[in-house]
Amino acid sequence: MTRHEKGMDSVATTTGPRLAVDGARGAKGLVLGGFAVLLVSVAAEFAGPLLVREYVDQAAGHAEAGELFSIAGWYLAVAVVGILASLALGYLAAQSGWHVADHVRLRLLRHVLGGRVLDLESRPAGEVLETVEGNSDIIGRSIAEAGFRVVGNLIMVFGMIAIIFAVVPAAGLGVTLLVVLVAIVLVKLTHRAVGLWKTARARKAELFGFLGDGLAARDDLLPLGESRWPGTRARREFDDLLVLERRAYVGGRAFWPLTQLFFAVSLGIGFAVGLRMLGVQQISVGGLTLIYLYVDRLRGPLEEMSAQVDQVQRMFAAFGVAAATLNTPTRGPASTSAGVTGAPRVTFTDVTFGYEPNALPALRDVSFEVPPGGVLGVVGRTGSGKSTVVNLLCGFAAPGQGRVALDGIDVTDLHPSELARSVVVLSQRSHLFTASVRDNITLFDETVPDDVVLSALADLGIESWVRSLPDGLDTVIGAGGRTVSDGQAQLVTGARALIRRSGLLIIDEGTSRLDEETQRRWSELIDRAAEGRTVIMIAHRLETLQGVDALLVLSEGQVRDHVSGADVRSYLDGAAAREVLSEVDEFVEPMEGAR
Amino acid sequence: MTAMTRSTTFATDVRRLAGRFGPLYLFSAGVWTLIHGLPLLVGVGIEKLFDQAATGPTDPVVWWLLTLAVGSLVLRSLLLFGGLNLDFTLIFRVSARVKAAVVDAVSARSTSRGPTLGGGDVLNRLRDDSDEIAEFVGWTADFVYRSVLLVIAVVVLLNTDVVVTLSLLPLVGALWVAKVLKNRLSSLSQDTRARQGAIAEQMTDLVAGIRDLRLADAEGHRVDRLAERFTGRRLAQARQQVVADLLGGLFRNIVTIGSALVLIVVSARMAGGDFTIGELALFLTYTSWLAEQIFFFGRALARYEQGRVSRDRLLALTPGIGGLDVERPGPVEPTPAPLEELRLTGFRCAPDDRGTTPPIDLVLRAGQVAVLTGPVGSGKSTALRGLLALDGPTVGSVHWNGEDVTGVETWWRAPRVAYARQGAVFLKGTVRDNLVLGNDSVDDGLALRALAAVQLRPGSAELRQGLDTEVGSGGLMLSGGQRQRLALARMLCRPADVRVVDDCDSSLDDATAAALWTELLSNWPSTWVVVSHNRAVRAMADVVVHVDERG
Repeated sequence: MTRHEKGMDSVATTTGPRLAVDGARGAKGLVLGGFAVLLVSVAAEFAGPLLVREYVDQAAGHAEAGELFSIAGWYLAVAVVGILASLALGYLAAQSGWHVADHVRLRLLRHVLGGRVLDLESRPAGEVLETVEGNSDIIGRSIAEAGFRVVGNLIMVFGMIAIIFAVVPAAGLGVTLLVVLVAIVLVKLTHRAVGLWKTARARKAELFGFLGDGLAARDDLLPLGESRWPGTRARREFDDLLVLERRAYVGGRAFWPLTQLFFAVSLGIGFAVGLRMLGVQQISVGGLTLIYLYVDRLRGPLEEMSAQVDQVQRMFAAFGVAAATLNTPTRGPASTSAGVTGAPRVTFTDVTFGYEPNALPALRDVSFEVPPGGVLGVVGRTGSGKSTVVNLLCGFAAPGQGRVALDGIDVTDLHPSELARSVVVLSQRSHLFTASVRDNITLFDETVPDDVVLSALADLGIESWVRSLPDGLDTVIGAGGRTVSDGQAQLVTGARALIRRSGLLIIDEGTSRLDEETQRRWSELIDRAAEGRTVIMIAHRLETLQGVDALLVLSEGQVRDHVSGADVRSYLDGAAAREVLSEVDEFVEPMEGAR
Repeated sequence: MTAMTRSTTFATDVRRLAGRFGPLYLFSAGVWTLIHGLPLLVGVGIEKLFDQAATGPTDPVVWWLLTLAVGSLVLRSLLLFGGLNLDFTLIFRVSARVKAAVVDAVSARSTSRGPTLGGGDVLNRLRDDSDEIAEFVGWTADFVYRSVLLVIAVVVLLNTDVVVTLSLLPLVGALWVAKVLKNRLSSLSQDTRARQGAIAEQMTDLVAGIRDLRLADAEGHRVDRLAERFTGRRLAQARQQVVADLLGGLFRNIVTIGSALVLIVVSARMAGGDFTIGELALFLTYTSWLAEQIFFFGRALARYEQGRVSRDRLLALTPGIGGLDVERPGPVEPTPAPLEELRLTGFRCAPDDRGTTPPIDLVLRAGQVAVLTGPVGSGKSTALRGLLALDGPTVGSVHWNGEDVTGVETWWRAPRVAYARQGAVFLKGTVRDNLVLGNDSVDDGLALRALAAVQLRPGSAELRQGLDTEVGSGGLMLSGGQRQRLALARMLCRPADVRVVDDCDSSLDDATAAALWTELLSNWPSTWVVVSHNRAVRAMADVVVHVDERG
């Protein structure tokens, strides 16, 4: 595996914060807009009490009704602006949050999909997706729900304290101390409540486990006269559980009485100082009202922040995990951009390869050569190494020792696009995508004209079937679309090989049984696709092997026989071939992959 | 199936459950009345405070008022701790009572006669629906005291100023707004979920087809196309966020708009001097309080419906009980006279979903042993289940000392019978737990004697930790032979006139089975009805009944 690892170290590294900045850059307008409306909504929160002070002072100074009315009107206007700004903030926060999340998601997806095919195929799809989706969703949700608002709340707390400071300095000092105290206690409480809930939940899960067992065993308990036991035990457990859960619940809800207490004490401090100053005419009654309203409005942000702090922490953690995933190496870049034109010469030179470092190699010292335009049949029992030959030829893995080359260029050195131009695989195990018939044939290449697609379908004899579909070539098939028969799926994926004129054709016949009609068309497909190409055919039936120029027989990862020219026919007629092929025939499996 | 099938309504259940915890319920309601009532008092205090402060801020009355307001608020925050405790306790206890009642009711029916739902679903309902009902019970107290406080608040406001009070009326419209928003939110979140699902499906498709995509160098292109869908999803997510914010911030917005309304309406009167700053403060304080109550009533109405649905879901688990507040059924009364004769006449079990079992005729006197044989699938197990009234309906009759007790569920319980069934299951815990089954009269001595009788010796490889050996959920950690013998031992731990054993020796070797039966039949006197293919036990039987349709 040395060659493979050599090419892996050139991946650019990233960090959590860098990833966040990269994501935000793509949503610059949204993020800046979000902060702008955030400022507007915070300003509206500040302005409300200031307008009330003005109103009260004017009223106390016996102003005109019109003046008061206009201040009240302003108050309403500011309130409406504040509400609208807050809504706009929600919209922009969601947009930019999910924008950043989708940026991370795409990078993770590209990264994961760029990994080794064999690794990907060995993991359940759900698990692969979780590495992509899990962290992205946490990032999106926490930015949308907490990212901007936590900033707004911080501004609000600091701003309001600053204003109280400016109006009544002594009260400002007292309130500041209180806010710090409450903030510390709240964060501690949130943390503790999480721990308590964990314990309570574990205990509850245990009780429900018992109840589940007890109800499942009721046919045993009932005649034994012990059917009351689950109920009795549950009643006893509930008493313990009550104490545990109550502690967790009250701990979790404690921010409510705490912020109330904060309000009460702040109000006391603010008014005590304020009233004294009012006595010596240092502030107005309006000023007193202002203190009252600000102290009242400090509660909300304090309450919200105890949850938001937690969310923001999780967001940073998710960025960190995503960055770490992105820093794991995938495959190295290709070292050459030289292409392969026409039907290539295929060479395996002393190839040894194992999937696991310490396991028995899947291939040992395998050497063979196929001249340009030649047709090689590869046969062998299950586990003989046939699929490994395909994997190495497709560049899904690099040989541990030896070389796999097309026209003298190592397959692993070929750029993916070059490789795609050079190699095409015709397999019964091809995946049918949830996509239109056209996309399933062109594999999402929009430059392929429809008449090319249709003529390929005509060659396969399924053109009229496709035309009869409700949307013709645009009909969506696959797991999430219209159901098609196994045979039809087979031929649609097979058509991929006809529209792409790569020089090397790999045929992986698979062991599934097809109905007679599909079998006939499949054979015709192979004949047509093989024209003018170098062909490597993993075969199971004598019939398909009739046209080969050479035959490679594999057994336990090694070349057992290699015959060519006129010897092929006599070999196929001989007993050795029948043994190999008939063994395989017994392993006929139900069709998988195609839908 | 006695008198307890008298059905009640949801309202009756709620009333009874609340009554069950009367003192707690009333105490909690009292504390919460104070918690929600004190702000009203503080509002009045603040009103007087401002009015006093405007004229003479140094007056000692001002300080008394401030102390009163701050004191009330401090008291309120302390009460809140207590209130949260009480509220949680009440809800938890009600929920626990409902849960226990449902557990009792489900346990009292055999699997064939009980709910047809899967175990996971039963537990889910037990967990969530009982909480839903309990929470509603908790809220009923809120209904009462909040209504009272609401009337008080409105009277105070009306007393202060009628016009301004009436100007607050449109706030009630927020209830309707909340309802509209809720509907909108659920349709939007459906849209988002649908997009989410489509994207997830495409991603799975991508991963599943990676081989083909890589070979065609099309993966980049494919991801680009997927990314286009992300844009659409983001728009949907943002729209949903706006409506969610609107709904979540509705309470705060009502307060803000309400305050603005008050300021506008009082402008003229403030200028005229017949509306004081203190009264303004009162209205501003009360507006926020009123908004909170409006919000509560809006949510509570929705809760009633949910509570009713939850109750129906729970009652579906427990056919036979008409309501959720039921007394616990007592244990089975022992028979006055011991068994003299058990007579089965043409007895068949005919469950709806399976075939009818062959008829069984059998007369057993006390202390005799009957062995039932017959081919696999001939219906021996079902017949025994029918005999024990675990399954039904039945045909023919079963007489106990001449009394017809066919299919009487309450009759076929310990201490009249004990049963060790085929495929017995166990509960997570130790061997001791599974022998005792919560019954205090089973002590370690009896348990060990029963284990010895079924050839399970503490300390041996089969019972390494003796009575403390863990069996795992359902008996997961036990082998087939251990299970069968543990089921027998469990049966032996209870006195019974008739012991019914269904195929509890098939996993044992012949020697062990023979030793076991010799011990059981000689040292555990009882009347035995045994399904077994073991030759030793057949040799010891007084009656052998061949159960087969062909007779």
